[in-house]
Amino acid sequence: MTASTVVVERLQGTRGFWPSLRRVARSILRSKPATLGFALVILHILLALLAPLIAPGNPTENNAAAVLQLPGGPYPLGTDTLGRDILSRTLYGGQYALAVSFASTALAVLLGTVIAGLAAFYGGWIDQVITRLVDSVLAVPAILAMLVLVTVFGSGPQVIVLAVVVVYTGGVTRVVRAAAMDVMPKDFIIAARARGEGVFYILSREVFPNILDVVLVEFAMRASWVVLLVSSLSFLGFGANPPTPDWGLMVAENRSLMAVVPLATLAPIVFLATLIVGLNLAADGLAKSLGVDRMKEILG
Amino acid sequence: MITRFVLPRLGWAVVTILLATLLVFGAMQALPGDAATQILGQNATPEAVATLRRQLGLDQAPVERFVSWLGHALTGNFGTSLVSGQPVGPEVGRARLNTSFLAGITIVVGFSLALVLGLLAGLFRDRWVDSTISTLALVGMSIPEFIVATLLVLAFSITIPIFPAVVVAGQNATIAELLPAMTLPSLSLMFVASAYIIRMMRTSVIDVMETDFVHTARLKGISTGRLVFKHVVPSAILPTLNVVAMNIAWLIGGVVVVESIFNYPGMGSLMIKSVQSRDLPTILLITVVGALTFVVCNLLADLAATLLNPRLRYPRNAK
Amino acid sequence: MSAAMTEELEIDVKNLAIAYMAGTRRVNVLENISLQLRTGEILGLVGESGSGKSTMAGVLLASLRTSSFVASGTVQLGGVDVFKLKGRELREFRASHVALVPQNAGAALTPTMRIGEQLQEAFRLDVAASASRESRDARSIELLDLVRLPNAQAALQKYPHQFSGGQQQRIGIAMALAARPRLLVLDEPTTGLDVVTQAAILDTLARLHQELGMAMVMVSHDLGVIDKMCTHIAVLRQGKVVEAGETRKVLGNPQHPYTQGLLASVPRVSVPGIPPSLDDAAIDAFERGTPMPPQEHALHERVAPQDTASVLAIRGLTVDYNRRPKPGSAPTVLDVDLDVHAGEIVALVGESGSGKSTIANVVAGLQKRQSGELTLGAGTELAPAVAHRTKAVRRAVQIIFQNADTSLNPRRTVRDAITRPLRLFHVKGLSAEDALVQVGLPPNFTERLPGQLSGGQRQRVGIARAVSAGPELVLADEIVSALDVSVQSSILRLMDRLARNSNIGFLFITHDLAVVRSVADRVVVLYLGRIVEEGAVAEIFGTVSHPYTRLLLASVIEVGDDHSAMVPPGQDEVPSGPPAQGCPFASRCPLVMDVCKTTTPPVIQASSTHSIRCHAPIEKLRGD
Repeated sequence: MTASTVVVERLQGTRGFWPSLRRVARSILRSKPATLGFALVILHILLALLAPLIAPGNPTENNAAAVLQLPGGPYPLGTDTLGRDILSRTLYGGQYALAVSFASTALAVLLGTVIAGLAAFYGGWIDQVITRLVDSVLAVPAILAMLVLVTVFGSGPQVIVLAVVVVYTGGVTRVVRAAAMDVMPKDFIIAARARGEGVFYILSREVFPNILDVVLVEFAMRASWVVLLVSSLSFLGFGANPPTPDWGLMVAENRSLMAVVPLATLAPIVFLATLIVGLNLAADGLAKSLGVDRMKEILG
Repeated sequence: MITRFVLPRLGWAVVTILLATLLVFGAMQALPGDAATQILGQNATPEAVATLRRQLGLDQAPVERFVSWLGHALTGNFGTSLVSGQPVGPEVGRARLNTSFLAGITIVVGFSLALVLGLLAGLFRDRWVDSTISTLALVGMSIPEFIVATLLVLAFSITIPIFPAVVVAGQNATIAELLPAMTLPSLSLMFVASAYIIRMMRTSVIDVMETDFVHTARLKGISTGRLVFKHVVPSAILPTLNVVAMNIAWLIGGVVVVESIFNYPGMGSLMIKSVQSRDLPTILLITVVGALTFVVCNLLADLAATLLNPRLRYPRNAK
Repeated sequence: MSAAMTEELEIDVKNLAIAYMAGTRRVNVLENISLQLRTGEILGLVGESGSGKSTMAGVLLASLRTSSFVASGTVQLGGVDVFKLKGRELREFRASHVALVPQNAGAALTPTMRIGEQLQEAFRLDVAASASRESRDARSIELLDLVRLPNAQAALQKYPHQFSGGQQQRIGIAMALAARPRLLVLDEPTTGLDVVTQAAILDTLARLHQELGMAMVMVSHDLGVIDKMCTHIAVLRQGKVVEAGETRKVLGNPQHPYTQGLLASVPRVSVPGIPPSLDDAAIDAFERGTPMPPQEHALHERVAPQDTASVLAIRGLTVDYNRRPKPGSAPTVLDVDLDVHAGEIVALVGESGSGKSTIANVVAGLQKRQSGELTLGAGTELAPAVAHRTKAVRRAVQIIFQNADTSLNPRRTVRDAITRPLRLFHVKGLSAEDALVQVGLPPNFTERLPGQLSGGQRQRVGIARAVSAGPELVLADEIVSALDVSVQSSILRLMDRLARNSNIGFLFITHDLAVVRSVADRVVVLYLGRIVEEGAVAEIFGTVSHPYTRLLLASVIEVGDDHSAMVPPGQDEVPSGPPAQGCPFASRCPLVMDVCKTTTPPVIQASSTHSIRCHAPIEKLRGD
């Protein structure tokens, strides 16, 4: 969590994908918080992928006979009010959380980057229009927008993905546009324009490689927010539907019985918190090793 | 200055709010079923639904309905709730007041504390003060409000019963009645909202400390206190204002979860109820209020940044 | 204040070494530095980038970059070991004994505080002056008057950004002098300022030194400035002092090959021809003790091409940034005519705000014009916007930029940068390696990224990118201004070679008159967007000149000059925009008459190739 243990290394020194990757990886490993962050994220991904293999029981099948069991035996963490194994539900919950969050974040970042690039390149009234539209969308309170969208389209995971994209693309556009606007006045872009190069070439070959680091950090930060938002929605009852094993939903279902069977609430809480903390630490570490200005990231 | 600065922004603000409202209205139109079907339920006869529709004015074309709503809105009449039959304005107004108090405490106490903590973290960079504060901020950022609220309830309502876990006063409670119940909700909100401000302020302070002018000021040999408060803080606060404004706007959303957990009669709860029941007039007014808050906060942040930044206050005229 | 009766040295540095740790390696920034200075003397620290001179300036204030430390040696100022001071003692020492005028004074002033308050902070230890509001204001005004800042009373209440660059520099000096330091350290005090402003500020510093008698240390890369201002000199190279002593002796009769090479590589206003460039490898050999390869000493004089075809013809170019003309305002560029021929180097000279970059942008098709015809080569009309130009036209006009950091895409290799225009313009038979060899770089540089090249090497890549496609006209926008002097001449020689061998016409935009003298064939002098003089290079530097050109020439500071001539006060204030009518130079011209303010000056032909726009009769334009 402390600032200075990661030495800022610029990608400029290495060319080519794999050497750059190694350099970034090395600088991340030099920082304990960053390494912890990446380790947590990778751990969660592994657990989610391996859930079918390591979960002791069925996450969605009710078992009236095994209601509210204490931890032990076939139920390492106990069972909830419907007799379902808590550990299994928690593990499978990771699948839902990660799949929905990463997919929607990736889409939002992709869309936001393209729009931002166009705004920065064309400037003028196109830029103005895009900025105003983005501001308008951002002005709608995020939760309200998601509530409305979920109510309109039902609450499957696809809807959640759509809702996240609608709500977060604007923020990504703002941040990436700022980064692109830093690159546009540079002489090598002017040289490209003077050659008569077109939009597509300039944005993809000249601008994008120089804002890639900002985009990557945006992805990591947004991913953490999306996990948070999706779980909050599920908590409110607007996200995943029972019996889907979703962490937010699990907290909502079991919190009234915290005194009786605390693990049912605490297990999803621990998983959720560690995933988000991991994503945040990873985002920080990535920002440090890529030399990205985190102020601009947070402002988005 | 007022005309050049404030008026264009006000103009854009109005456009933004209108667009936002339009977007929400449009989305609601896509809903299968509307307030009429919600109220009467699954088994209503088509005739009953049609009658109710006519009564509620839901049979008009969407464009007409939006325009007429807009017209009424401009005169202050936001229609009647499709659910309760009460005028929407006062209903939302009451909820707004309650939420504002909650938000107010969070902002005044939480944000001020956050600015101070951020300053300390930046000044004592990498020492234990910074480590502690930064860790707290990281945790605050990473834990959803519903978890914080749940844990707080576990700690201070169940284990050590100091604060009430749930508000029982109901819709029309007065502020005084609500005060003790506001503690846990506002603590939950504060914990999360301050996190970003702390981090932003810390980064800002660190950046300013490395500028040439702070370096020069240090070389003048002035005291550390003077250095911090006259040279560092004025420049460091400027970018943070933006984040503060955004967090205030975010509170509108974050408040939903917290109010739901504590059954607090504010905008959040109203939001959930009205979306569930397709209560269009209420939803529209809530959108307007939400967008208005967002826009006003940004405007105030811009204004504050201008007032605090001499570069913008006195545009360059070489003399 | 007067010369001290004690024998105490103001500065006594013994065997100083400063280093930092990069991983586990120790990197030396300064090695084995020993310097001495007495009260009233002025020391010049000369070096190029990487020499450690800025670190040395910081050392005198006991200020090091966060990761650097003192590896050995001591620094004593006035008998006090500055690196032993801590906390309160250090602060008081800095407040009273020594002061720094940093390189970029504008950035060194706190933007959120008024000037008056910042000044007062500097002398707060002076109890008498700080006693009351009146005394504080009085002392502040006294300081601002000392540096000749106009309207001192009003200035106290203003913020830094409300002043021009030159004024900010003066305020920075005033702030440093506020506490009456015994030692004043100036880090590149005039770099980045216009040549006339630079001369005025140096005059002010010389006068201050005479009045206040403190010791001064001036860090600079400009030998002319050092020669003018400093009694003593120390030449730094790669963290070591290679030569030191009295300025006149060292610069008059340099012993070390680096000093010799440095002096030889600086272009001079009075000497036509491109100087030889400094051979770093040879100097390294000398330092190691091995025999040095023979050095090139000769100047390369350029021969202007005669009667070649026209490459660029500009007629009546006018550019106005205002959409609707406001009363009292005038176009940024007005009625400019310009010609460039094949194989010719035409210098477009002007200070910042002269409109030279605007003209370049219009020629490149990146800036709109209000009126004017631009013709390329044999009669092709240059369309105003790049998008409307054919590929052949775009290929024929290329640009080289000033700042090597931003002119190449940091994420693309050298090969990418060069081959892109080759592919775009369908140039066959030329590989990236060939292009590199053409500009004097090793062919294996193709796989490098810009970050792995030095400033001079990056500039060569930029040149390769521009010329490999076979253009007719190249716009060279301040291409040597950001380079070390020792590297400049090699780039200038390259430009000369390309003009000769490839028959390219260069429009060379610059503010540096010595560079113009060394490489240009014809010169166009621009002031506030209007041409004031044009002619062959020997004529421009000859006896008949426009008053503005004369002012520029008089402000040039070079080694060996008689430095006694001073710039008249007020001459360095540049107006913010051109006047609506009359001669643009009227506000500063020593020969100004009433007619100058109302009527556009006529063209005076001093010879068939030399024209001056002035109302004054030609006799008055003759110099000594």
